[in-house]
Amino acid sequence: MVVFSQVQGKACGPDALLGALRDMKRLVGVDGYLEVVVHETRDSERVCAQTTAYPFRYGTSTATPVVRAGDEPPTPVLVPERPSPPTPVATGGGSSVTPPAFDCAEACQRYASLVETGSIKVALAKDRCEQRCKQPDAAFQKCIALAQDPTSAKACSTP
Amino acid sequence: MPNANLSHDSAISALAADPGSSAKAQTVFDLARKDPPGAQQAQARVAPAPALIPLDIERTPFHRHNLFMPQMPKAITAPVDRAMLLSTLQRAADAWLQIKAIGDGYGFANTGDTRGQLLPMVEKLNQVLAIDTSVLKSSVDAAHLCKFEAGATIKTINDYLWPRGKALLNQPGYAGLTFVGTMSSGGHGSGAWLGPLSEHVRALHIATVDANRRVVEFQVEPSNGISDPAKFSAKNPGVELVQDDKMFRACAVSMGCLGVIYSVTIQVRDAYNILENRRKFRFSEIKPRLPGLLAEQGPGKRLHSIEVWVNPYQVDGDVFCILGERSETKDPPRGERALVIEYGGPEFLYRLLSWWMAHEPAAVPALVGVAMTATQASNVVLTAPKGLNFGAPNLAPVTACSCGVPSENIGDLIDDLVGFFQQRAKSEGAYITSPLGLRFVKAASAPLSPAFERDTCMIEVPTLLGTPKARETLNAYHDFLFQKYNGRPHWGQVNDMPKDRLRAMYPKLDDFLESFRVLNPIGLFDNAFTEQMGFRA
Repeated sequence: MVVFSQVQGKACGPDALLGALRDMKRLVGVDGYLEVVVHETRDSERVCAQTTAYPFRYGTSTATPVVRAGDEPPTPVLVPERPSPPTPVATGGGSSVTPPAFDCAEACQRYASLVETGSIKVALAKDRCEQRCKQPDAAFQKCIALAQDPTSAKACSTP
Repeated sequence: MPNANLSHDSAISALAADPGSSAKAQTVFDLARKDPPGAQQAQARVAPAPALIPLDIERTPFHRHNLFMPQMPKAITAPVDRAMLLSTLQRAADAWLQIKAIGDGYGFANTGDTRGQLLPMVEKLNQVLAIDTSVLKSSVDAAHLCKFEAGATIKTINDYLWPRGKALLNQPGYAGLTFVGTMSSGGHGSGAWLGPLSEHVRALHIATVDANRRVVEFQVEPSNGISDPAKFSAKNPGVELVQDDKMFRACAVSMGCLGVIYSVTIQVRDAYNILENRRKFRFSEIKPRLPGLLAEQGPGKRLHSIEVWVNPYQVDGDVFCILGERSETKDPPRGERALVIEYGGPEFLYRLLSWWMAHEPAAVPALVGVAMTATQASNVVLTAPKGLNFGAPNLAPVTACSCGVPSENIGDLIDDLVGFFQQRAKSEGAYITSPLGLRFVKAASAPLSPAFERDTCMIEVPTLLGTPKARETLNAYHDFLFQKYNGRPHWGQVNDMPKDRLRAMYPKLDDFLESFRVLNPIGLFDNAFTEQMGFRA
């Protein structure tokens, strides 16, 4: 499980607590919240609520959650099932294993670090690599998988 | 001596009885211009004046000039310098707060909306900066570059440039706008040979938040940019230099959703004066001349630029317009502009129009017509900063919508558009309270610029707040131009465009979305606008 840094929600008005919880739940890509603390204040004019919590995600991915800009969707949200590991598939007289899909994200991270320096340029190179890799461009995939140094990596992007 | 009150009262009665009469509208207009309090008192004897800002807008939790938000931002900070900007961004990122930088809130759209951290840049981050020539390539003409912080207004930049014998390549019609805010939303000036402000930029210094919620600074330039990479890196260890055409163009018109622009370096030119003539014509007289008027613009040609204001309603049996012609001149300033009415004009006029709009809208076309006539002036010479400004403080309580269409065959399009507005007035009693403003802009390279890869006529429709059915009229106007003429919205003005139109309008949308993924990886620069456009979908 991965726990992210504290997130806060705030709202005022008749449904302040509900609003504060909704405001806090603006992270997309987390599975829940730990140590939720609710603080409500009232004065003669209005009620306000503040919530804090630590978002968490099952598994080991530390990818930062995306912050949603819009309102919480009013319709029920279908949470997709986690992908299960590939299962052996029987073929003919023997058996074989489905080859794992090429991991563009991982290969492109490695590729981008070889061809660029600086966080923006690396991120840009990674994004361009992923777009091409996911087409899918098999020759490009093979090339970036084999690249060991900046020269061989840069050669992959040559048309 | 005639009783002034009686004059006002009888003029109002006469126009109310015959609202299509330009002669009677002229009398009402002249009296109101000469004696604004008397006109307001006379109007009040007939019916109360409408609220200049309708209550439903006044009561929104946050507003600043034209920016209205349905919620109060969690934090509002005006950074005083670059260090404070960076620390504010890091604090917001640590708290998962979405971030939005604005100029001064003059945009009419939801691009400035945020629930999180609002950064009004105009307040304190507004200085002109020194150009560091030691990091530039030797071939760069540094004398014609100008660098300033994101909150610098057009006026601030002009006040710096003019005493030094320099001027902006072009500017928007109101000098109170920030250059960066205007540029970021695709803003422009006038001149068929001049691209929008984004085309004048040579470098952008931006702070954004990476996928690890860490604030990073970079300077983005075209691939053949002005900076020498080795010299730049040695002198600016904390700022990454990115020389990439696609990212540069994406950032130039990005509505603040790729990070916060700290400063910008633009190309400028030598100072010049403007000779201006504004004359009234039937639109049918101007229409065949429009292609020639566009071809005559540019360096060494007769014209610097033109602007055309069209009253879309028939008055005295015809559709009239004002043609404003501007030429560059070495003559010193002389003369004065006449009345300026764009964006509602001076207070007496917008109070007059809003009252008649509420009580007898059929008189509005004639009143707009006489106000347009009053703008005529000949052989006025102004400095470029004044000549390219609309001339009036654009502070009337208006909302505005603007749409970019191909500039070729613009005359036929305007005929069609005039028919559209006349039909809305006839069938729904829905009027606009200002002439249509036509300004011509050269094709732009930024993938989200309204002028992207086509010479463009921007058609602006300012409307006084409180005008009945104003929002519906502006939306219908957008729909009309989109469906018939591939019109693109001005991002800084009213824009209710649904996201499904985006790809059809912007053929290189993917070039922008690439930078959106890279520079805004976790959505900290998302807001109501990015949701509306579906950038993250």
